[in-house]
Amino acid sequence: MAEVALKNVSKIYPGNVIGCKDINLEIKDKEFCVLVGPSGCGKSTTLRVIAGLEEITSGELRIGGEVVNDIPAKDRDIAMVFQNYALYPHMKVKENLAFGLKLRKYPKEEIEKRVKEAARILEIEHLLDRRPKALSGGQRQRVALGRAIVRKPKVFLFDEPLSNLDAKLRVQMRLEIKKLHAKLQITSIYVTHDQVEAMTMGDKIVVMKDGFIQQIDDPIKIYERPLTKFVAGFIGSPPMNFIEVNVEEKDASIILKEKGQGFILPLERAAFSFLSEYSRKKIILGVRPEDVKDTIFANIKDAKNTISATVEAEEPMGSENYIHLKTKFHSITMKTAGTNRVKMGDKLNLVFDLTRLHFFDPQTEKRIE
Amino acid sequence: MSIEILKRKLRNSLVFTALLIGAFFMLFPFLWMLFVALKKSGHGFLLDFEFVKPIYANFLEVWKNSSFPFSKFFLNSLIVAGGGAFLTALFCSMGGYVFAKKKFWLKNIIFWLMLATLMIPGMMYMVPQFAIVTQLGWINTYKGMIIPHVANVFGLFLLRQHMETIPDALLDSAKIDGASEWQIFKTIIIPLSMPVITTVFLLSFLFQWTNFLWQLVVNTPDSTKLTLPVGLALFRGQYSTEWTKLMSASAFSIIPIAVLFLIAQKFFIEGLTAGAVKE
Repeated sequence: MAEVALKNVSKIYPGNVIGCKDINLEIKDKEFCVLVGPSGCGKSTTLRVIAGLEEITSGELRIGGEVVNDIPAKDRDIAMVFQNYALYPHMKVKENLAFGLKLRKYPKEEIEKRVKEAARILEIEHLLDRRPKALSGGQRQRVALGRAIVRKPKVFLFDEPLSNLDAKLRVQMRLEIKKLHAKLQITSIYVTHDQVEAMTMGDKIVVMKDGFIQQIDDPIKIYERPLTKFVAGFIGSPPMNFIEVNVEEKDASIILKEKGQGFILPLERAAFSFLSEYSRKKIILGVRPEDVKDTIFANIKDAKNTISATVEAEEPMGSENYIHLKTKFHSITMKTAGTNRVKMGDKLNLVFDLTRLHFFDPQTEKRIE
Repeated sequence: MSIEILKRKLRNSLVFTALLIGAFFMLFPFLWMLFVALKKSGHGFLLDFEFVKPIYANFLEVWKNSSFPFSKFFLNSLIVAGGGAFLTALFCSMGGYVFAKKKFWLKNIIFWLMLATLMIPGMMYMVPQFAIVTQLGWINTYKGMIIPHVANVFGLFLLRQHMETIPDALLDSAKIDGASEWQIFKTIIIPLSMPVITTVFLLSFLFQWTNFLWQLVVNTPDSTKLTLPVGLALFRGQYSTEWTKLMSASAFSIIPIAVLFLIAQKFFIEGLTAGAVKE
């Protein structure tokens, strides 16, 4: 049981290539923390730094209160699950599970007890005498998890453990890892590029880009109040719509105008006063697909200032329907009930949920509020 | 239909006849060696059927002849070839691991420079190597025969190429599981490279077993460390050559190689084709 703390941790590779930079992160005991971001964002590097597989260039890393910068991986008392499982192909499942304990010279009976216990928890008791080659992907991943849990480490590290599984198994294993965490209560750090995994699994999400942390928050806060345009676009599926608009002030209103002769969206000044400093400037308006409504589907009567858009494509998912539309200058995706079907070229009148708009500065890409 | 089958049979018999002829040519020296080994003294080059009695007398003679310590030569050969092959396989594995998985300054340049030495004929090294071995006082010793050939760039190359295909995640995983550098090498790298290590072992064993020139050079004729090829050459006296005995001894000298290949053939073939096909 331990908390993990990173203070200004950087990993710079030769040639000044940034692995991760100025990472400040505190993961509490028993917390499930997810690092998420596109490939090359530094999330795996950060994890490898914590594991001790990469040396820290600068900064301080503490596990359980102890500075571990110079402590080798084998003495950090952590366990790691890899994307490609990294099972030792020449050893039976049993031996794979026992390997770490054997190296640490545990007594034989203890090893056997722990292996059996882990196998029982993960339901792989019948596979103990097989070699990894004879296992399916899901079974291999279970063995990899088992190898981590037999050690009863201070911290679990997961490096995209589900990426190699097929979609259905991924959902199932996702849930199992979550249950396992609830049961074992071991501090866990989980790296993924899949924002759904991040949202569903994490107590805390860390969104990364280009080696830097963009935002640290709990899943719902990240979704509701993304601090940068990148986070807004990365978390959520389908992604948030971004529309470039000009801000104009007029009497009691603040008016957003799509560039050129596009749509006009008047807002009440009282509620959006923070936009007045952007008067006569460009900003980026962000609207999540579920906050885009159509006057007919949503049964909105006497709607004012609707935005007219043409249907370009739809993606019916059964329970819901993603409709891709085009205004004069922008593409907009709308998420609506599965029963609301459209045809190519249909004209819809859209309204945005004005209580759920997001605004971003076009230069800094930071949230305006 | 039946013509088709007939055609196929005809084609097959042609192919197999050709293969049999090929096999005969390949086996001929071997068979000839056995044939001569069974003949009476002085009949070695005659196309007759004058065999010794009992038929294995020449073979017994080879082991019993007091003036010719065949068993000593055989043992020396085993020590030199076995020891050399073992050390070669060990050092090539260690070097291969370092070149495949470790990062250090000028790694690739050093590796390519080493590979470049493969283009220089081995004979070119002989004089300087001999000078070194003499200065070290290793004439007439096992060391003198074994050590100069332990550094085997081809073996190093084979092993590096193979070890590069071992996923880094396995090594990372072992590190986190608590393995030291040596334990990783011993418990992960070696078992996973066994086919290629066996190949390197066999190739160096074969090389050392049949090596003649170097072992002749670093042994004086009165050396107690003479190996089989050098010993066999001693059978050819100044005035006469005991061809029948020479061939009996040669027949024995083939046995260890044949046995080794039979035992290791599965590994050996796997090793030579390792990485050629995606599994």
